[in-house]
Amino acid sequence: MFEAEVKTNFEKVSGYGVISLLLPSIFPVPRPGQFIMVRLYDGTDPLLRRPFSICNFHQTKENSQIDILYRVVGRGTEMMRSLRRGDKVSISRPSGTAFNIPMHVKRICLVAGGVGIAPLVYLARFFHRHHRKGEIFTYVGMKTEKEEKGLCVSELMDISHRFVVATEDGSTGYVGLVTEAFRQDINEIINEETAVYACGPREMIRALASFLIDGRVFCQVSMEERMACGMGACLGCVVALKGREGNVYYGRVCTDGPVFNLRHVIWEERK
Amino acid sequence: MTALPDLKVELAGLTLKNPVMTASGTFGYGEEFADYVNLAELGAIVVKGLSLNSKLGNPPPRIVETASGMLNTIGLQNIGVHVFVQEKLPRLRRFGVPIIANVYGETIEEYRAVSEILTNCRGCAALEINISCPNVKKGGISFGLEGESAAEVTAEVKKVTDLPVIVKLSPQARSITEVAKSVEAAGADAISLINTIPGMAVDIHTRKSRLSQVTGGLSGPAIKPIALKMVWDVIKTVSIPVIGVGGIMTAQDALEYLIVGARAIQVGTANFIDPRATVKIIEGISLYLRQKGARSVRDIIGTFEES
Ligand SMILES: Cc1cc2nc3c(=O)[nH]c(=O)nc-3n(C[C@H](O)[C@H](O)[C@H](O)COP(=O)(O)OP(=O)(O)OC[C@H]3O[C@@H](n4cnc5c(N)ncnc54)[C@H](O)[C@@H]3O)c2cc1C
Ligand SMILES: Cc1cc2nc3c(=O)[nH]c(=O)nc-3n(C[C@H](O)[C@H](O)[C@H](O)COP(=O)(O)O)c2cc1C
Ligand code: FES
Repeated sequence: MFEAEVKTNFEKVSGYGVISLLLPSIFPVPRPGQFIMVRLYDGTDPLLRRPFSICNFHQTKENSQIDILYRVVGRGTEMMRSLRRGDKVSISRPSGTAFNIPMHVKRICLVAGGVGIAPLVYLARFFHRHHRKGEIFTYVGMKTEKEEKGLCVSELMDISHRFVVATEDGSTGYVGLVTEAFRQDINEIINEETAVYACGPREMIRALASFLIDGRVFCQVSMEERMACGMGACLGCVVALKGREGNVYYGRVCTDGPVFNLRHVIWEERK
Repeated sequence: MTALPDLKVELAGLTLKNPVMTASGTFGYGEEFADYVNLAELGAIVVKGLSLNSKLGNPPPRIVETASGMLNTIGLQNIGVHVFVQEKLPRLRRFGVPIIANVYGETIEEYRAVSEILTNCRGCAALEINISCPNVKKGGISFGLEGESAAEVTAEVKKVTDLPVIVKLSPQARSITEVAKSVEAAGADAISLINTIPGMAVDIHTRKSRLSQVTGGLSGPAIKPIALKMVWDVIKTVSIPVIGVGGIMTAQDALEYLIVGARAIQVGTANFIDPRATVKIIEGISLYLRQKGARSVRDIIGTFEES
């Protein structure tokens, strides 16, 4: 566990914030897709750490900095919003699996639902840095235009070849769900050198699976589940996955994920 | 410099370096924590519940946080005793910490079979018999509700093992002291308690449970006063050692259990929030003993004054 110091904490639009945390330089360099567990309160209520994707990471000689993009949804994130410069929080080291960019890939498509954009921002920057000639096609879904600023889309916009915003209420961009916006374009943009990366609500990823099922497109998704330990010990954070022999098993989002190959995820509800 | 207090405790024929163990299901198979904790510093590690064959467990959502606690319905997902013995145990043994295997069965035969395999593999220090898991449809808790069935499981396991047998009791028992007496009479070498307390949480928008299984087991600080009282009640009824479990976050919590007479304690949910919780508790107990001028933790255990 590392002690992080709050450098800045901005609420861009109501309910969406970006917090920058300073860390000792020994903090391991995270890979795109990984997350950290943040302890927002020293007492017992709220009790558990909360998982957040790494949205950005910089290193200087003296220290490292992590940026988290967050949406206020409950008590923990409410506490995150109230953190001020100089406050200390305990965070875990970067955990979980990372997005994998196969060697031959020259174009990446990012499909984000709301704050699901966070790990994709870090992935896009990484890809942009290492594949100078690579192309980034970004699709971001939100309920309404107002969220656009909260989701720091401008960073991604600058490095994307195509940038599509979809709003459910039609206030800007594509009218409808982000998966529909993406689906309209797939014949045009997907070829053998394309990989798709998605993060967002389960329903969004399920919709993506419904038309990318044939497995021909390399697609990785970052899944969310409620977590307790974030280190593989409690088996609380599972999703149903296809095993090698066609069997079903429950994999842990925190250590077997959060990044999974879309074709391994099982969508039928079990009881 | 005064000498460090002696933290050693004797428990059912085992000598533990200190009274602090991990609670089953909250410390994985131990390895997960090896980067955070020098496992050899712990009194013992109790591993996740093991059944004869691997178990899939319950669908998500499996956990939800509640006031100062959490509900879980993991449903005993585990790799099965064979894989544990072949793959996990050899690696775990290298850490040089006593390993206690938590045994679960749907039937008495399964409890016997799992216990026998764990005994024959010669890697475990003791068995903890889980007759208290509330999150499985068969077995577990159903044996822990009444003294008679609890005693039967205990006696059957005793027949196939020469390892110390710890029976883990449920707060759902009709009378936990009755069950405690029965398992003692059936040959249990020690008793641990409590397992989680059944509870529920409702999503007011969907009007459904916030867990996949309607109910789950409550753990964490919220259950400590209840658990402590049950532990104390059982300590007064039996003469075998009792291990206190439930809501232990700090050395202060652990000491409360030791003072009422628990021979050892287990740390569960606290591991999730701070993977070093166990070692901090050990250090805290040691500090307390020094402050009180006690030379051994044994000078504190069972010193509760009722009036
Ligand atoms: C791997 C991973 C990465 C994540 N990255 C981000 C991120 O970059 N930015 C961000 O804003 N959020 C992220 N989340 C979600 C974030 O963890 C939850 O929003 C947060 O834990 C809610 O805490 P709270 O106390 O505010 O809400 P609570 O009061 O605990 O809950 C409020 C609501 O949030 C839901 N919730 C609680 N915990 C989780 C969880 N772990 N995952 C999904 N829903 C949850 C609850 O079911 C409830 O509906 C991530 C989750 C995971 C698993
Ligand atoms: C996620 C989780 C999984 C658990 N799995 C088991 C198990 O497999 N076997 C068992 O006997 N107890 C299991 N327990 C119960 C704990 O060992 C312990 O009895 C209980 O959580 C109370 O202690 P605590 O409040 O310190 O967590 C589990 C508890 C949790 C929270
Ligand atoms: S959160 Fe505990 S196993 Fe994933």
